[in-house]
Amino acid sequence: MKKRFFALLLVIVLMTSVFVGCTQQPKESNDALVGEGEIDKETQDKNEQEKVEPVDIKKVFVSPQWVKSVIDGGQEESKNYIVLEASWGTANDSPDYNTGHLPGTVHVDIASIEGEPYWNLKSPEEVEQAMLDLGITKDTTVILYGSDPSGTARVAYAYIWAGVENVKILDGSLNAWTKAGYELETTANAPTPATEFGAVVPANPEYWLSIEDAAKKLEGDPNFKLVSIRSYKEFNGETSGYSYIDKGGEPKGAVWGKGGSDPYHMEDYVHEDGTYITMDEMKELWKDLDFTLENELSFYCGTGWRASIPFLIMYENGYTNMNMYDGGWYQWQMNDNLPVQVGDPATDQVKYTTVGDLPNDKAAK
Amino acid sequence: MIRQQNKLQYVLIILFSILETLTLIGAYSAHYFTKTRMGMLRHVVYLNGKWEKSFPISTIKWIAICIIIVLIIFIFLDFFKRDKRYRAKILVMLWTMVTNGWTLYFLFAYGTERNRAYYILSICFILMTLFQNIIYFNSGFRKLKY
Repeated sequence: MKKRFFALLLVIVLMTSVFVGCTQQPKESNDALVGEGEIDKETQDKNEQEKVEPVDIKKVFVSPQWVKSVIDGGQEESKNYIVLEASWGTANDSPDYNTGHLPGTVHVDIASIEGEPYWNLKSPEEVEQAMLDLGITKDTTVILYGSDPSGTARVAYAYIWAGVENVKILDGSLNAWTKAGYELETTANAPTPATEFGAVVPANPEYWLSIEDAAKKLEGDPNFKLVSIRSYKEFNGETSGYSYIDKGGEPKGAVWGKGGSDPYHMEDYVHEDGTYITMDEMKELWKDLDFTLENELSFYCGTGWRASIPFLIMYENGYTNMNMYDGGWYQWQMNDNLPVQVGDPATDQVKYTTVGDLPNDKAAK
Repeated sequence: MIRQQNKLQYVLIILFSILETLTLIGAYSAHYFTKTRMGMLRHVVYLNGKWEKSFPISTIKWIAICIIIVLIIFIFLDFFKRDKRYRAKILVMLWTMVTNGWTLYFLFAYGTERNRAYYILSICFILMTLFQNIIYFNSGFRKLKY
């Protein structure tokens, strides 16, 4: 009898675990503010005394002091803004939303703006709906931060492409915020959806380049430069950089724009403290590379995250001669007939071939 | 002799029960991480594309469905036709029906559109069904105490 009961119990437990896995919903946290006791009082007082200057609508990377002044109602943007913590998945999957976020912050899933099959930006209708669900219209000031500088930049780029006029990124993310002595909260915040975006999405289609146009321009436009924002090992074809990409190489004619040590680290574009490099630093980074700021620059990487960073730096500095080839190496290597280079064209050790002839052993281990 | 056979069956049943539990844990993990980890989702989507190119997925799926339907009918008839002394326990029969039924339902009702990890989960569930059927047929010929 006991054994029968045990067997029945085991069956129920196993069935329950399977069904629970299929239907799990995110749960909300309702804790109060955290970190208040840890705040350096002196730093806080000092910040409060400082009058924070307004910033230009096109400025993307902003200080924690500026963000605080928006939250406190001290800026023009305070009338209509939203703070978003950007990471992939639900708020519960976020590495830090539930452990503490800026007051009033809403979580945004990076998957709301990009998707299969190539992990490109979603259709304009889908991106518009995703923004409306968060209450974002073209006039909303969107302040983003996240644990991944590339992922945060990716969302900022998508919103600019869509037509949001005032998109900001908290430079240095959560670290900069807590370092400035500001408090965090753990209460999960729900957005108030909007009904009208106020512009046709995308309002800035010129910032997005298709694979067809990238291939055409590479062949026939000498002023066009396809700039690879990837690690050197990815650029010269030693590895694809990703476990889900078998082939290594670059589109034929691409030039290297540096990046970092691998797809998940952007040391060339992000300082150790998590702040992004400035335009001057980027000019310094690019000074010996095979393109100039006079070229038409199209940034790309694996699937469009890393390439968003130089795009945004140029955008905030008033440049208009740049866009993003969104498909990146992922989409390029899915087309057997497209031309590729393996090796660094700046050296004589480069081989030109087509995607179809590339070996399938370059996936990241 | 019969005692030795019973012992062997007992060991086999324990072994396949462990394997079955592991496939369930594997299925749950694949499902959970595909939903919560971007890298896993992208890898799964990549595998889907690769397998669709390399294998006749649809044919394999229908063969599996047919085998499971045959198994369900066979087990049902076998259980009630067999002399009570040589039957498997009713709980074993019921759990075999549940696993067969669930796998059949999953193969029919789901797809990569509805669940990105469909192929991986299908493999896990088919293995689970296979192990459970081995357990059923092992426990059906002798009066086992386990």
